[in-house]
Amino acid sequence: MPRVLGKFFSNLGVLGWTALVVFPFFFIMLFGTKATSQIYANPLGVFYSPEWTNFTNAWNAGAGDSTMGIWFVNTFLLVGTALAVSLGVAVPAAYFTIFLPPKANRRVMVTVLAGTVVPAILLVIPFFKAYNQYGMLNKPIAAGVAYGVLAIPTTFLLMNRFFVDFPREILEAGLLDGLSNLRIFRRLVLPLSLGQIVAVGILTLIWAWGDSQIAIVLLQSQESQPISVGMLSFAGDFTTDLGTTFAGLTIAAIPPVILYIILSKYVTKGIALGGISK
Amino acid sequence: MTNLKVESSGELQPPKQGRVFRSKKKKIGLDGTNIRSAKFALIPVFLLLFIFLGLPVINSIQLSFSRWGGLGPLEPVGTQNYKDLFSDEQMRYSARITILYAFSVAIGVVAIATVLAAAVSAGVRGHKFYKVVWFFPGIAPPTAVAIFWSSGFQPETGIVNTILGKIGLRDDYAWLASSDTALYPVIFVGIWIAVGFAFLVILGAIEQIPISVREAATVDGANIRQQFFKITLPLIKPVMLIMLTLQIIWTFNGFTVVWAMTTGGPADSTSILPILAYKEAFRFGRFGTAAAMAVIAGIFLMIIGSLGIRLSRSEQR
Repeated sequence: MPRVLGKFFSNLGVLGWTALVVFPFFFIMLFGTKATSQIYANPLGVFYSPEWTNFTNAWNAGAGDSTMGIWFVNTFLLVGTALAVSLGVAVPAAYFTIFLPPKANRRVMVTVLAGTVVPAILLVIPFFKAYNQYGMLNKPIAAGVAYGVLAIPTTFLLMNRFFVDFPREILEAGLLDGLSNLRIFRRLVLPLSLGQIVAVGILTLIWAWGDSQIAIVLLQSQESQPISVGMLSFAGDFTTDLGTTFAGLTIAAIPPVILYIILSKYVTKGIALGGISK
Repeated sequence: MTNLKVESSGELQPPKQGRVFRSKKKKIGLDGTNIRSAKFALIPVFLLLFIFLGLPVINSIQLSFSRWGGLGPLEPVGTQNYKDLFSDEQMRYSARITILYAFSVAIGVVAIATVLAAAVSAGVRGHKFYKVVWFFPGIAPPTAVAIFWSSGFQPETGIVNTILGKIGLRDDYAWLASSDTALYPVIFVGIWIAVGFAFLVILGAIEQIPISVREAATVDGANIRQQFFKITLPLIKPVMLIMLTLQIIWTFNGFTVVWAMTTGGPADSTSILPILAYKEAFRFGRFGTAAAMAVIAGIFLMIIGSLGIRLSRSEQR
């Protein structure tokens, strides 16, 4: 195969996939700002007068005012709790584990690794049963704890792999300066690991933000739902009002994408460093 | 490492002789306090994993041998739930399409991701841009993009059908309304969402191949295609197998995309096992049979998982 032809085809494939990736986001924003009648009459047209009321309608979906605002608050509560639990518990444990003798270290690894293979389908019903029993249903923070714990194994493994390669000279320098082991961790190790912590945290954030399988069971009342579950009923409420549906999709889908563009360096790094064990 | 804050720390103390001596003689890692800290820090990890993973699995197994309607005590029924499921037509159909769905998505994802990664590593211009943009579908909430696509596949008004119409194909086909075709758009969206992640992982594996290996091949007169099939592909095969295994497991478990697009319909034709189990429990209040479904699915996934890891290990040797 001539080199030029090969280059041509790989460029074609690359551009084609890019178009397919961008296409939905383009139309979500296009339709979100179009009047429904315009969407039906001229879906592909890019010259039109924007219909901004779509957004206020979407924001006040369902029964009450600012329904989407409440969903956002619930998502923040859920994701924030999940991050606090997974990072707060797994990062110190992942650091101090590197000092264990090799045999104990391996036993810890195998146990934690087993935690990554338990399928969610096995957890949903027992979660519902237990949360119901203790009156924890419809509480975004309580649901966030479950998400946080499920993220612990991945967080632990990725952080541990990072700490194993942490330069020992720095730890020894800290010791020379009379810092206690806890201080070394807090003053030296944590600040120098921030990039990795952000990268791993973002993997948890993406997952907890988008998942609906656990949330749909633990957060059943509309005022406790996160955006991922709320949107499910949303689509049904506006079947005839496409403009509002798409305005809602814009509100739900665009902020994470923008956040990702800002932090993309960390995300790619997190995945390259072994996000594969998620 | 010049940005250490040690020097500027106000609590700088004169180094203690004993400590210096010890840390030089012994390896720092053997320091007793760190081992004690490790044990202390691991307690919450294992406690939480036991409460949120260990107990629920035991609970699921117990439930699968019981009848429970959502309230009150469990009523043990032995293996009745499993017997019911094995003779249930819908369960057998669901198991079949779950496997079909998981394997089609996983194979599609790994194939497309490998081709894209090969193209980018062969020096397509602007690869930094692609690395960022191709992950968009994996970032946006799956519910939102799934709703977009399901509206796109509506006859005539849907954007996918509109475009199919513009390029001269039929635009009135109700993809999601027919039991025969509803699974195809769902598979497509499943692939569309997951390629970005697999691409980054596989590209990472390709970039780890030492340049000297490629240079040697070029010197030996291998062209780009030969290099890809004879060198790159065999070297990244373990990563591809792991990715394939994980993708099968993730898709098999993938509740959100299917639920947002079809809620398992029409007529349960896209009810993969997680959806069937969800409906069984939370619509029909049969938590026992739902748990039995989950246990069967869980065993299947663990077999797939250990098989995949074993295959990838044997490839590495």
